[in-house]
Amino acid sequence: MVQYIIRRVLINIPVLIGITMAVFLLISLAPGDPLSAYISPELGRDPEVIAALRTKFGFDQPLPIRYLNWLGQALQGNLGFRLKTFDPVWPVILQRIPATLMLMVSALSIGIIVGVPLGIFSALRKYSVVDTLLTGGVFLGISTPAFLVGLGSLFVFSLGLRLFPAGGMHTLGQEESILDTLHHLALPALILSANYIASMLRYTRASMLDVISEQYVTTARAKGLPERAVILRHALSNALIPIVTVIGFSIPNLLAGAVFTETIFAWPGMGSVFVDGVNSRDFPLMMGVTLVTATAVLVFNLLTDIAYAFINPKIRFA
Amino acid sequence: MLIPATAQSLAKGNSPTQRAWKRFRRSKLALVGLVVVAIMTLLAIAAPIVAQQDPLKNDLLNRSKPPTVEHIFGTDRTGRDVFSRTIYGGRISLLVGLVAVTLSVSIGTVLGLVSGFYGGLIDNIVMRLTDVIMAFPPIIIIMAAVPIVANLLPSEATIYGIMAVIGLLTWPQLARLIRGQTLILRNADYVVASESLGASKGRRMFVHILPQTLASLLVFATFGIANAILLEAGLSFLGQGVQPPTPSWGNMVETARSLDILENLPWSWFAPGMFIVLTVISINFIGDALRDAVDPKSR
Repeated sequence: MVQYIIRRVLINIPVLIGITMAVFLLISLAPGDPLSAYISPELGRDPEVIAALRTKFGFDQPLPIRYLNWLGQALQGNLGFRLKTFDPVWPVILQRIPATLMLMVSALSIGIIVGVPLGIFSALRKYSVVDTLLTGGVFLGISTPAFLVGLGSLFVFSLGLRLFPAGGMHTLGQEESILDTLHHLALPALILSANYIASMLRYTRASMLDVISEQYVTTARAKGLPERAVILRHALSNALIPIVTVIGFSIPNLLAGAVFTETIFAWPGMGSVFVDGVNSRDFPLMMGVTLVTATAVLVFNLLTDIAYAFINPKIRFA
Repeated sequence: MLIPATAQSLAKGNSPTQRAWKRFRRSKLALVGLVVVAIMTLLAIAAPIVAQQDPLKNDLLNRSKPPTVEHIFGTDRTGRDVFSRTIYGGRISLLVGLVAVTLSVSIGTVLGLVSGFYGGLIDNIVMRLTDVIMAFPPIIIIMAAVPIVANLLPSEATIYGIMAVIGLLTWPQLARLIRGQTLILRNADYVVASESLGASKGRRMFVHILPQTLASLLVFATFGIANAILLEAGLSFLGQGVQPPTPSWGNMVETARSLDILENLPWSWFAPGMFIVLTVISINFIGDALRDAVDPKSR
């Protein structure tokens, strides 16, 4: 197991280097002087100072050296300064991560809690009316963009029925409370999970159908076990193994979905600050978020791989 | 059963393609999807005939009107006809889908073939490249790249920049798929035989191996179009895609980010929104049936 983990980590190192190279390439191609991202506010914009800084930061060096310089700074948590407000980028992103995580974890949990049981049910009642309806729902779920679900729900639940607030994380002018935050979280989390419920349902159904035709399930039935035990203990525990990987490869899409949900609901996470950055052409901020999210995806993939090996010995000893 | 069936199908001239089409036809939803996509395509091509009103013309006397006989989808805040804008918007959305997928299929196919065929260092580099690209959440990397590409192009060419960016960032899944199949096929007897007859590497890759991967390529391309349409719509929704006043489904829905329009002019964003969903779901139905039809496991 330890050997497996070490191997997975080693495989991911070149990918991580590749990610930083890709981000650096984008930074070099971005319009404007990349140096301007590193001038801290108190230094001002005096041309002489800028020229001195150019030498100091090595911006007059060839591309590979500049990349190494940039990487060194990035590893120390210096992603430069925002172009408009001069705030350092990394603390801005760091401050936004908890809100995004809260949204993503809620959406993931809703997706699993709703999607998996529905998928099992759908598989057990294959080709029934309910299965057909659920399959239709899955198609609708994967074909409807998050922003449309978001606007539709905002229209119905916030503006029409006035059940949920139309945006933000707290009610203004009111003391922060968990209940208030949950009330603000409910709608964006549900919307972000819509896509996810659909893919969870689809994969659980497929995986369950695969497993049910296996011989050990027939054996369990032949032993005279009650159907409930056959399904829950023998079939389900094996059907869920591949589902773990679904959680892993959904992370990039979940992060992308968060960009829309956060924008629509003014949720103060990484996604909304990223969109602000893109709208104001704040390249240091954009690239910072791009780098952080890609690294996060890589880490989540690694964790999923390890979790998968943990529950599936076939992988661990392969 | 198997052998007589083959003999029979030979007698009837039943090619694998015909058999796949027969399986495809079994899915009613896919046939409905095919009709919807055909209608959408026709509407987009015939936009100037179907939509008689100018999609860009402001009519300040008829602002914010709900649907009427004259304006069947109503008018927007500046009195433009929502129906015309939706039809013309479809041109952009479908074109983005088509061009982006053509690009991503070309790159994915060539890199997948080369990677699987040559193996070794080339394979390693291509596969790590797919790992890197797939680590970036799709809309985030596209949003970061589009302003940079747009900056290098004249403003009226931005839309081509968007197509290029979507195409350049969505090929890795296909490359992996094709690579996997190539790894197996390059050692298939018929390929080895062609090698001994003196077939060049290029000929083996593109004449002998490529046709065997066409089925999965077609399935990927179908889902890819749906995906590209969603990406363009999302990009436009966030204000980075097709720039107004040129209509696209995404930027028409974008106007509803203002709560006033969301609440008081629902027709102006509901119509393009439904066109997105209808098109994408139809393409997904087609892709799903296509996958079942060409999958040898489903008989």
